[in-house]
Amino acid sequence: MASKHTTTPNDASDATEVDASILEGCRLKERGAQQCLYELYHRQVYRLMVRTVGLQDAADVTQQVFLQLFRKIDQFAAQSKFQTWLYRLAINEGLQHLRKGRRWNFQNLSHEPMSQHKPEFERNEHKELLDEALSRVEPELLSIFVLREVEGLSYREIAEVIKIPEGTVGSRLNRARRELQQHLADLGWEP
Amino acid sequence: MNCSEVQELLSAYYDGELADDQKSHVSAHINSCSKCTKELAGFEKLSRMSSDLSEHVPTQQIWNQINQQLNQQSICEDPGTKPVDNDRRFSFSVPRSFVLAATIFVAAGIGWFTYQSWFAHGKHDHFTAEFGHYLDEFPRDPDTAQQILLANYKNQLVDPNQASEHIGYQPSVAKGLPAEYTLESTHIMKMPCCTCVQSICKRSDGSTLAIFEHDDEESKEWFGDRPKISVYCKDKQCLLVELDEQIATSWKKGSRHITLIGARDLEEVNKLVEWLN
Repeated sequence: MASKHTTTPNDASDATEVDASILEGCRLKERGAQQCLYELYHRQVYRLMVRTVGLQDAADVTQQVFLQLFRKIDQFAAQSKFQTWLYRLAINEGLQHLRKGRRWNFQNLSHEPMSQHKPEFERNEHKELLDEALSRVEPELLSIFVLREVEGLSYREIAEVIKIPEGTVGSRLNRARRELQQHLADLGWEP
Repeated sequence: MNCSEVQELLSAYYDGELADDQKSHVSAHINSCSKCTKELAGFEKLSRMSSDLSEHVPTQQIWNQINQQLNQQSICEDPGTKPVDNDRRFSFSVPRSFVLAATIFVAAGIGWFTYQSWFAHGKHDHFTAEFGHYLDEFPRDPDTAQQILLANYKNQLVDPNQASEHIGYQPSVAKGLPAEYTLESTHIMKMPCCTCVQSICKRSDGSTLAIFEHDDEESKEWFGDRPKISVYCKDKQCLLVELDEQIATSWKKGSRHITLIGARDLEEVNKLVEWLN
């Protein structure tokens, strides 16, 4: 079996790297620049938050991420990649939210009407199971799994976001995947 | 390579993050090991499931709320745009003609008490919002939180032993702090509710705690509409508010209040209530 070399569907490059003039505008607290930055990155941040803190709290935490971003924009050093800095801010905000105990509130996906086509039905069932299993994974491992599988970040990028050595990313992902498989198995999933 | 060595490298292999020589060793093992092959297939299935997860679309409401919060922050940060001040209040009564003056005089007379009440209320709401901003920031970055206060309120750095010359009483921190704390700074601050004395204290691990002593009758507005609980610590009734993983609390000491921001747990609240009283 060959190893996987491609990134996942939601590739990290789906948001354009930000223009320096927008960042400068944000530093000057210009609302137009702040809105531009929001427009560029809010889908990405929201998607990350849905998978990290759950659908129910994702909008609130996304809001907090951008308020923090505008407050701390002076701390962004231009030599690093803006997206990496933003991911770090978002992951920290998500983890802080989870540690505060507002965790595990994944909104149950409502059952769709049973399809005539079995594969479609099975896929919906899998989505529910995975959502539930993700909500049970240890937050730090969950964030690494989401950065890899949902956001498609490389190990080097994940290491920069989480601030861990690059060599540690693989072993953390091993743990995340095994933990996730165990939760799925507990929920009755058969690989 | 044996199974346990391969298992350790399995994610990196699956994600295409191994160097060529390692990759070929892992690949050779997997081709002859059903256990590792099965585990790799499990990883692949997880990826397929993840790619099938629903894509949720953020609503416009998120930006609207951010925009609203930014508006509130800019009011707090720019004293020039504070909603109402006393000078402006009187400028309405300047007449352009006798009739206009008489009309304004009557209207002002009727509305005076209502307006006074609204103004006092509005001023307190504004203070609650400003102090709320401080409370939000404190657990994340106490230094930035302190800058918010110093930027918003007139203040003076003082020696706690000489603070009584300004406020008429000796602040509780003047007698010293428990052994594991050091006093970093003491400011007298003129806030809308009162003039208070604020001390920044450091624990031995470098973390920060803020102690306010103030002579207003009520301290509820300091915490706004945050969820509060009332508990007795060392026989003092304390109003407790949760700030992320920290605690803010306020209790009455004689005719004044002490408000503590950044306590780690109830044990620390108990210790400081006992010490400061």
